[in-house]
Amino acid sequence: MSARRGAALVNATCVLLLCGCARNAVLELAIELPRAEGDVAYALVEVHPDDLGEDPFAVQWATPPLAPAPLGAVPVVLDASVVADGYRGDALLRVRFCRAPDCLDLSAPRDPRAEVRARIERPLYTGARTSVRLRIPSVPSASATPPAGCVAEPAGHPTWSCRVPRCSVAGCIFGDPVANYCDGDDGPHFCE
Amino acid sequence: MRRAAVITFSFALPALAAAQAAPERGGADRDATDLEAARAAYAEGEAAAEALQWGEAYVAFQRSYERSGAPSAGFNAAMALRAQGRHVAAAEALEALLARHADWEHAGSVAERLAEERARVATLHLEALEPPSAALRLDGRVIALAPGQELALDAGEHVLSAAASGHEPHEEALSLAFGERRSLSIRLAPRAALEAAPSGGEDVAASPWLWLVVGAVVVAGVVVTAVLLDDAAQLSADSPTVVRFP
Repeated sequence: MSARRGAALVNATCVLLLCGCARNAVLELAIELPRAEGDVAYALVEVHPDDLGEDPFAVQWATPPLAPAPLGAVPVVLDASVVADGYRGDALLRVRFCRAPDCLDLSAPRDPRAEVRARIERPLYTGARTSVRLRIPSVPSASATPPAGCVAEPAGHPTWSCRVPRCSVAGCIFGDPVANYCDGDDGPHFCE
Repeated sequence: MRRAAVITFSFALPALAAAQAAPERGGADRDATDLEAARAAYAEGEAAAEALQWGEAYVAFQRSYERSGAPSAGFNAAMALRAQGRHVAAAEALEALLARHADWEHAGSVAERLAEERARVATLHLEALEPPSAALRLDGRVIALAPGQELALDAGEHVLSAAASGHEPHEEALSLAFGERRSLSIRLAPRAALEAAPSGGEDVAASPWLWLVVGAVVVAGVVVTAVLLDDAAQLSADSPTVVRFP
């Protein structure tokens, strides 16, 4: 190898090292919230790492929810970025549908009126920006049909429990930017 | 804008009373509890409108409409949207109202306001997008807009951005007037690849010492920069709403 090529290789390696030294991971969430229904006027979204034990949705989460999203006559999309330094496990998402912005209205039926729970499987990858879009077509109710990937849960208020499989986590490190990380049911992730 | 909305509220009151007296007019079974809640929500909406709190007024009138089915409440909700400058949402609400209550005595007024709102809505027409898989965001929110499609949006200042892997991101500010139709073509430039080394000659550039020195300088610069800017090299969040995991 000539000295010039060697130097160029060193330079390129350093540039790649500089560009690739991100140690954190970012998950871009887009949550399609339904239109307001009944007396449900707000959605409160919470996101948490899956470090709350066997039944994480049965406990109060210590992290504060995102700002209440007012529901309107048309569906809205709520964007949020999850930035993780070292955590690479599942992400938990809870959307509570409430009458009051703080979800503390105690008049019958008390807040929350309904709830959507979602487990997003392994959405975080070191140095990668991934994205998940979760569509909630309507406020959960006894008569509404849960969307694909969700099931109705027996709870005090209408609740849908959803699972976002890791192959539905989208990213674009190499190649086709719309490609998912998985190439099969449990195939290798592109970024692993 | 505010004046028009207040005038509208004043004539809507008797319509709600009529709806409460004849609940079947709303097309749904309403019990006394629903109507009482609708009446209370309507009063909340009125108070909020008097205080020019249009966001709260909208929520209250919308709740009243859903409880009572009274078109006046729905109309006022649409007017509250208009007062906030949300003309796209106001037009959609008025369209839905007109479709549901075509025989309402004030349907003519609804149609007039609908025409006004439609005239205020601006339109973005996407002529071309390269690469087609580029993700588009308007004011930070993901939008689904393919070439040849149009997007209705409120007049005013917006920021449109596009991003795709392997391409330079694109961002542009849009200032749209009422009723303006803007056509856009977005073509993202591929990121520049490493330039090929120039062909060698018997000049100073061919000297291995020169390139070793250049390499050493670059290595030193990279190391210093990496140390100083380690935090800056981390991925940043796209959304202003950020949740931090450990």
